[in-house]
Amino acid sequence: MTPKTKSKSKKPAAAPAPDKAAVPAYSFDAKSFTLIADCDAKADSLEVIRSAAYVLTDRAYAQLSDGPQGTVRVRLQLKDGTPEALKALQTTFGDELATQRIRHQIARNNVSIREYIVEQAIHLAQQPAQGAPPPQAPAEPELTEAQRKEIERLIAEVEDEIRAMAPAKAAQDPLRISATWEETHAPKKGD
Amino acid sequence: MDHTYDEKQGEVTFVLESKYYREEHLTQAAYVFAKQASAFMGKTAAGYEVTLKSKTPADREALRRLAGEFLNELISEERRFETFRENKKIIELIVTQALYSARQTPEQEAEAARITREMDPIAEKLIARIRAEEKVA
Repeated sequence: MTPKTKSKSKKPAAAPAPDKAAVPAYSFDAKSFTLIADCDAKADSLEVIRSAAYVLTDRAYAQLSDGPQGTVRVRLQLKDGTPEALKALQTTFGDELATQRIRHQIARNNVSIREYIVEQAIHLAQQPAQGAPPPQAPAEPELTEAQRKEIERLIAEVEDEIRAMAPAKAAQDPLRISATWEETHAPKKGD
Repeated sequence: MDHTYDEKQGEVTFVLESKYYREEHLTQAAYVFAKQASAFMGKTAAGYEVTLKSKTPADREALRRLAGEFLNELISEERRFETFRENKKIIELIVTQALYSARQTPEQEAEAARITREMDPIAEKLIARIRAEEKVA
């Protein structure tokens, strides 16, 4: 077991503290089953707040208006209310606000990439229509059997000449450093 | 929700701030609700005053639901507009490409003009015949 150290750097990174400014101030109107959330307009853009409210429109009626101290007031009135549902609505709205915040941030960061990808896709789709396909190189004529044998014979001749030159070459390279793997590992004729 | 209800008239009235709601979206939402209610809109210092008059008899609960659905429709309209704004450039690119792909070559245009010229006398004859039949009928 490794001994525990008191050094701060060895401790696991603490989870980032939630941004208090981004948490809306909540209040309730239990009589009409309405949740009132005063969202900080500086922490979240209007798009983010509206998107979070939009997600909850399946279970509540949403209205946006000015809140106190420059906040955006979101009123969410449950369509069919119970006190438990009202509490759950608050949690869901808080979570949804955080989700939409990240979603909008990602969308904003990737806007140029999205546009680039679509532009490239369109550009590629356009290419075949623009012109005829590039001319292809003419296919090489196939060799006849006689030609193939002639080439093999010539190659064999050249190889023999190289082999004949080998002793002179060996004198210059006694350790056979420049020899190829085939030359050094080729099976001997007697094998 | 600060709504004013008039059950006798089947009306619900509420105020919307122009900072959060656009006028054109009010008219779009009113159009969506045209079957269920008549919408009356007036301008106030902060925004708009909207009155929805139900086309069927409605109690307070029905009016609350009507106003709520109208408000949700407004949020939908706003979100739709934001999505359109975010993707405007991509939409333009795709439409431009579609138009570019659909354009005709000069040869195709000449062929189309030739066919139209050839078909014109036949079409005229057919139209004349149909008119004659209509007169007889």
